This record gives sequence, structure tokens and C-alpha cells, in this order.
Amino acid sequence: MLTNYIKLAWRNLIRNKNYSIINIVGLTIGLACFMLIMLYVNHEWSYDKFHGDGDQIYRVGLERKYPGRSRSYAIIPHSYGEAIKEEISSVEESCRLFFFGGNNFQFKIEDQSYEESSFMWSDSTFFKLFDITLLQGDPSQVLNLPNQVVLTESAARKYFGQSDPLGKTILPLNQNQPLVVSGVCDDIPENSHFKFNILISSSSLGPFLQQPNYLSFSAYTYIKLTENTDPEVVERQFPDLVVKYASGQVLNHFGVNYEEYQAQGNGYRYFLQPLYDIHLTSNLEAEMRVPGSKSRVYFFCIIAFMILIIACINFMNLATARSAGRGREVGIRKTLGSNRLSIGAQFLMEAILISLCATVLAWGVTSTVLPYFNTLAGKQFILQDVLQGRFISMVIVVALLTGLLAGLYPALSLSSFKPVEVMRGQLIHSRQGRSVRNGLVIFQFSISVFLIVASLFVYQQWLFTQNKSLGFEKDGVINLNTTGALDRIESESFKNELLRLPNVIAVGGCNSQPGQGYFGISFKANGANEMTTGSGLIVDEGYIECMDMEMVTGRSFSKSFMDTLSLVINESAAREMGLEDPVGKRVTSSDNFLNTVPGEVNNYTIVGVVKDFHFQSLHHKISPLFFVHNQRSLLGAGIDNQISVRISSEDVESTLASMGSLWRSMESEVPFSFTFMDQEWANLYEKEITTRRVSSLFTIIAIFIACLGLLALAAFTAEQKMKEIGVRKVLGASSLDIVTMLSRNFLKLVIVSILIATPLAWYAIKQWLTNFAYSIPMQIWPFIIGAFLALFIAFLTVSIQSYRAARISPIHALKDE
Amino acid sequence: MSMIRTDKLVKIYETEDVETTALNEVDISIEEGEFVAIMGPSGCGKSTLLNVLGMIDSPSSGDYFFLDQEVGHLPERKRSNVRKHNLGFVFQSFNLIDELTVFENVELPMLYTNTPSAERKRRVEELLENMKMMHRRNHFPQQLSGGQQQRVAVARAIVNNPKLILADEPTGNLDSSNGDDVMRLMAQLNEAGTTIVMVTHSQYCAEFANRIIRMLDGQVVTENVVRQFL
Repeated sequence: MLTNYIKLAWRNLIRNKNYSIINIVGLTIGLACFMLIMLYVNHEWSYDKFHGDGDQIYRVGLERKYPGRSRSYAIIPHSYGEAIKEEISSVEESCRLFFFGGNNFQFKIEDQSYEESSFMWSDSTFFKLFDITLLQGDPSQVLNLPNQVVLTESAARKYFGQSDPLGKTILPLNQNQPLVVSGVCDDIPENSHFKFNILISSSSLGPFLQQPNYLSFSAYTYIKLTENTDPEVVERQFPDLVVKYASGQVLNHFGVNYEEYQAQGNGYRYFLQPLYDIHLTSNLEAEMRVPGSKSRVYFFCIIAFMILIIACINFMNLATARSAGRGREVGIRKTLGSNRLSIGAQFLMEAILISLCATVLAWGVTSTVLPYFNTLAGKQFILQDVLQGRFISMVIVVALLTGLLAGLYPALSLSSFKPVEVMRGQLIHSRQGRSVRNGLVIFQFSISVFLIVASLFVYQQWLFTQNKSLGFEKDGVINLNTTGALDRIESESFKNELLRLPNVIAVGGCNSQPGQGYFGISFKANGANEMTTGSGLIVDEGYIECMDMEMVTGRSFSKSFMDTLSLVINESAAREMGLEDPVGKRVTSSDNFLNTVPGEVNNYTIVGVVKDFHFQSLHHKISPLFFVHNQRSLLGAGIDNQISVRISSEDVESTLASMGSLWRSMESEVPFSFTFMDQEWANLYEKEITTRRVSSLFTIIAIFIACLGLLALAAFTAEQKMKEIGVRKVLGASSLDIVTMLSRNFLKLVIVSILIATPLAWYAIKQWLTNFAYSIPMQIWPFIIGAFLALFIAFLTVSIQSYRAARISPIHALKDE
Repeated sequence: MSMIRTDKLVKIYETEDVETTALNEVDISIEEGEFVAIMGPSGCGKSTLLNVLGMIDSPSSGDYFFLDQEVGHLPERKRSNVRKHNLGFVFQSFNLIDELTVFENVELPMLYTNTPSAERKRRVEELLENMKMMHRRNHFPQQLSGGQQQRVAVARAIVNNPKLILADEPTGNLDSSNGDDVMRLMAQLNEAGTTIVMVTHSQYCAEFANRIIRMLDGQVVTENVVRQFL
């Protein structure tokens, strides 16, 4: 019997070619989209899952409370790692990572200079905590001492070729202490929330770490709990630790005891983030890599399922529309003694066969378009990913479910036919069948309208983020990011020489750029009770002008003044510090790391206020920002980690070439390296760009599949109404009358879809826009465009069929009578 | 023992606002081995009667006894079971399944009676040989002439050795020569012992039967014995 079903299903496929093609093409595209999206979703879910004991590992995050507001960080004060391990018995191990974004690590191996952008510092417990295999070196020794480094396998090959790297030295520029390679580990997988090519022992950071610190944040701190420990129990012990360790420092730094400090609205709430959840759920300040987003993964899953459902609906609609033809067969089979179950099974088998054919084709399509999808989604999937056992079994299950979903309704409906009624020509145009089909078309088009409107909003929001005035001019700025290699005098003369080049408009030095992440710093206005914590940026006298930032009041740094202890702040900082007329006001800072003498309180004078500008992506509200003069730079007075050069748009290539030769004339070892600021800024919107691209592509595909179904349904309707068309034409109806008659009902369905989809889309988009600190307002026109587009596309699809039907001579239509 | 006996069989078709009485208290009795032709003008209810006798339609009221068992009001599953073991159908429009070959069409009823594969093959080949259709066994219905299609349909009807064959205008779509062939085939089957009930418009075909039941407006008007049943 089974072979009979398969044979029959296959012959039906071949016999009804157009119908089969529409079904298979629809399902193939639907399944291919599904596979691609699932590859992406799988990858997003797989982050950090390669760590075997990952379910016991947590990162300690911090919610820093300020009066009336709070900010959450992925980094915490560096001394807590040790304190937590000592004080809480269920903490088996802890490890701190230090990562400072935006900088490149420049070093020499023998006489050759290199530059590495992916590097971190770590405690010696790294390999105990994380499942990264150490290929060479002793796990308990590799990061024990200062100035030890572990390289990843590819980094070892890149810097040392075939020779054994163990014991070899790396000499960082501007430092005398060489680093010794003590180990080689596996490359960090792409699906890891941290990444490095070089891992340096944390003890190499020097006195910075030797000072106990429970207030300012710098360390990514991971802990491993003993098996079956409830993380909430551990979290509940944190407040006591804060009182025990931080209260003394609070009193020292802020002059109030911890209770008072809390009464002012300040405080530190530490919490645990499961390692497996960091990538998709954590979006704290100072994340090491651009995190993923659970809502985006869900959004993509929804799109994938919607496309699949649209394709399944095509199948259901066409199968039931064709029931007139199949009804006779059902009648004969039932007359010959077949029961409902075996007829239902036969139609299900047909659906599953079509779905399996489509799956095989979809596999081919997926493998073929993989490189294009990679570009679209910013991923690096390879063919092996599509051939993994887990993926294959998932796809097979989905294919079977698709077959079941698509085939169940037709199977139930067709197998319920009563043989005598089918033979008598009844039931063929049953009202119930028609209303189910109408309902399904409405469902399909509701999804399509929803996706069109959502895509228009995604696109608008993206345009908005690209065009919103940032408060500085990112276009025409070249960032030179290796200038930390120059000493103070070289840096000064390089900047002067740059200014002499034709087409160079302005030059400014800084330690980091908008979007790259700034360090945290706290200041207290004289007479105020509380500190204001914000972001800090070290700049030279030219930077604020070079970036076209607007001074609201006062002045920027200037060579005409002794500005070492001057401060320029932004409007938000002035507001938060409660300073109405900030210029000339004195503020103090006791942050360790700008001070030459640890613990010393330094007085600064505010000399100017910069208009608020976006130094983070538009996901974040503008927060307080403090510009510190580069004479107080962490790396050494007068050294600029980066130099920004504003150039005119004329002859950019030759300007870059002259900048390059100027660089080489001053610094022969470090290669000339630059980035365009507008491009770097665009990278901050990687998530939005991916969402925009993927959602628009899949929207188009969804509409295409829906139209494919509509096209076939219109053809069937025209076929069913052939006699009516013939009679009407004989009676004098024009082609236009016929087209109108046939199209009207379909357009009604699309209008109902619009009415259903609009409020749903409105709600969903409103929710989505709350993810942005700065977003476009809800507008009516994308809904109008969406509605018209859906109507227009549907009309075009249906009228093609209707017009063909209307052109047929009435004699053909009536000849059966 | 009567093979078929009906008692005040009524069939009413109801549409939204019209009620049509297709069978109006029909009482007939057909013995085993009979060849009965049912005749009458269009709409007189002869096809409805055949459908009820064939258990593909159920009566609105009245009883239908098949081999002394009341079957008119059985649930569909049980009717289907009686049908596949006892009845064979021949239709005016052949009703072969277009997607199955000649062989597979004939084989189909045996699939529903779970006949073993070797037995199916033997039986289908034997029948096709008898019908002189063996050379067409792998053809599809559309590749055959009307007469050939009806021969296949007859083969399909008798493949399970049914006790009763119900034929609805079996020659209606055939020319006279092919029609004649089919009628001879039916007569042979009857001679071999199969009971046949046939609906027809054609007096010529009716004369192959032993008895003619004439119907008008859902009622049996006369029953003529054409040939003495032996």
C-alpha cells in the first residue's frame, strides 16, 4: 500500500506540473530561508556553549546606582574577584580578564615590528575556568608570572612561523620589559563572547592591580560555582561583601560612610550573568564584543516560521482548490472499499513527498547562496555547517512537520468526501472549503503586510541613525590608530607636519574615538556631596575643533594656556553635577589611574562646556563626559594613542598617500594604518544593518511566495468560473468587466488582511522602537505604503490570471455544455 | 434467499429550499444469479436506487437487506467493509484512476482487501488475459479507447469475485460495437453466477437482462421478466 501511495503521489506531481512547480518552488524557498535563518539562530544560540562546565560559570556584573539613576557595567572593581572567592565557599574558582578596546598592541619580535588588535590580560586561572585547550605549556604555570603571554595557535604561526614559540620574547613598543611566550592555546572559536590572539598575564599590568580597589571598574570577573549551587544564593551574599570591602574606600573617596552614601541614592549592586546567556541577553556598558540580541533572534525565528507557514498555506489552498479534480478519485477509491484513514494517509504522503523534494532542493539552494547570506548577515558559515548531523536532523524533522502541516487539512477535507456526492458533482465548490481558503489567504497577506510595514520602519530607523546629527562631524575624518608608537616630541612634530599637507583641514590627538568606548572617571564639584561618574576622554588642544564639536560656553584646550589640570565637560556632565555656570568651577578627582601618586586627590578647573554629542551609538542616551588634557595621559604626557585628521573631500587618495609617506619618514617600524571614521561609526550599527538587510530580503521572499499562491488560486478560480465568464461574455461583458469580477473578491481579502495586520504591526513596531534611546516617531505613512503595496502586488498577480481568463473566446468556455 | 430486498426505501435530497424525493417507497427483491436492468426516464431515481443498493448512499428511510442483513443504515466503515468484499462497480464514465496504470487500476480493490501480492498479480494477469488487455497492462487510462477502458473497469469490478455487480449505464459512453462487447461480457459473468444489477436507457442492453424494473418519479412501475430465470 505504501508503495502505491508513493507511486501515486509521484505521478500526481508529474501530471500536474504547474501545480507541483508552484508548491515545490514555494516550499523550497520557504525551507531554504528557514535553513539559512536557523543557521544564523543556531550560531547565536551556540555562543560560549563550548565551555564544558559553562553552566557553573558566571560573570559578575555591576549595577552602579547614582542618585535618581543607575548604569550597568560588564566590568567591576578588580579586587572583587579575589574577595568573592575567599569569602563565598561555593565559589570554586575565579578569573579576571582585562580588555581595553580601541587600542592596538604594537611590539617587536627580533627586528620585525607587528601590530595586534585582539589581546587581553588574564589571571593565571584562565585555563582552569574556560574550556580552551592549551596546546603547549603547563596550564598551572603559563600565566603565573608577570610578562608571560599565551598565543593562540594562529597567532603563534603568524608571529613565529614553524619555529617553537615557547620561551621566545615579544618586546612591546615604548616598554623595556619583554614578554615571554609561555604557552600556545587553541584559537578562540568565533562563537565566544570574548576573543583574543594574545593573552598576557594580568600581573603584567603592574601597580595598577596591586592597589586594592573596590570602587572603580576595570575587570571582567568570572566565577565558577560548585555543582548545584543556586546562583541567587551567591548573589545574596554580595551586599555584605560590598559593605565589608568597599565602605572604607567610600569613606576615603567620598567623605561619607557607606550608609550615608546609600541614603544619597548611591550604591553597588552586583549580580551574576550565566556564561551561556551573556551573548544574547547581556548588553551592559563595556561589553568586549558587540553582543547579540535575543529579541533579534526571536524576530528572525518568527520571520522563518512565517515564510514557512505562507508556503504551507499555498500548499493547503491549492490542494483544496484542486479537490474538484481529486474528489472523483476519492469517490472511486471509497466505492472500491477504501476507508477514510487510508485516503487521508495517501494525501498526507503526497504532501510529505512534496515537502521532502522541496527540502532536498532547499539544501542545494542554501549551500549555493551561503556566501551571499554570509555577506548579508555578517557571518562566516561554511558548507560543513549545513551538513552537521544536528542540523540535518532538525531540517528533516521540519520537513516532515511542514509536510504534515501542509497536508493535514487537505487530507482531512478530501478524505471526508462522500463518494455518491462527489460522483454527483456536489461538494466540489463547497462553501466551507472556500471560506477556509479565504481565511488562509487573509492570514498570508496579513503576514505580508506586517512584514512590509515592519521593514519600512526598520529601514527608516536605520536611516535615522545614519543621518541624525551626532553633534560632531564624522565625515571626512581619518583616524590614525598607531600613533601611540610616537613619543611626545615626535607626536607633536607629526601633527604639525600633517597640518602643512594640502587638503588637511585640522588635526587632533586623543586616546579613543566616539563609538570605541571611553574609560570611566568620577569627579566631585567643590561643595557637592556626591561624585558624578561619567566617561573620560584624553585629548589634545586640536581635537575638539578637529571633530567640529560645538562649544556651548567657555573654551576648549589651548596651547595659550597651561591646561594640564583643566577640564572640558559636556552639557550632561554640567547638568548632573548641578552646575549652572560651570566655567571656572573647581572639581576634584581621586581616580587612581590619571593620578601620578595613587590615592592623591587632584583639583581640576572646568574651562569649557561642549554641546552634548553622541559618543556612543544611538542605543545609548548621552551621558556625562569629561575631556582631560593629554598632558595627563595614562600612557605618558603628550602621547596620543590616536590622531584624527580632517581632510577635504578633494583628492583623498593623494592626501592619504602624503600622510603615509610622512608617517614613514618619522616611524619606520610601525606600519601606517588608518580608518575612515564614518565607516567605523557605521559598524556600531552592525545589528541594525543585519536586521534591516535580513528583514527586507525575507519580506520580499514572503510576499513572493504569497503571490505565487495567489497566482495559482486565481488561475483555479478562473478555471472554475470559465462557464460563468463565457456566459457573461456572450451577454456583452468586456474583458475589463471580467477582470474586475474575478479580482474583486481577492482584493477584498487583501483589504481584510490590511485591517488585521495594521494594529498588530503598530504594536510590535512601537515595542521595537523602545530599544533605541533615540528613535523615529510612529508615523502613518509606512502603513499607507504597506497597504497600497500589498493591494497593488495582489491586484497585479490576480489580474494577470483574470485577464488571461477574460481573453478566452466564450465558445471554448461553453463548448462542454 | 433474496440477495437484495428493499422495504419502503425512501431517499429525499434536501437543498436549501427544495426537497426532492428521488425514491418513493421502493420495494424490490432480487435473487442470487439474476441479471436485472433498471430502466426509466432521466431523474426517475434509477441511479439513486443503484447507489443505495451499492451502499455508497444511504436511504432516508426504509430498509435495505443485503444477504438478509440490514445494511442501509450501517455506519460508513461497516458499509465500506461489506462493499469491498461483495460488490463490484461499473460506471458509465469508467471512473478509472488516471494516475494508475491498467494493471494498478485492476489491482486496486485487492489492496483494500489485503490480498497478498503474488495472488494479486496472478489474478490481475488472468483477468487482463481474459479481457485481451494484457498488452496494455502498463498503459494509463487516457491511452486507451473507451471500449478498452470499460473492459478494464469491468475487470476491476470482478477482480475480488464479487457476489453482485452494479453497473450504471455501462455502455453509455461507448459506440455500438464496443457496447455490444461489454454487454456480452456482462452476460458471460452472469452466466458464471454473478448477480448483476444494471441501470440503462437502452432497450437493447436491457434485453441482455432476465428482468427489467421500470421506474418513474421514484417509484417502481412495472417489472417485466424478459427471460425465464433458470
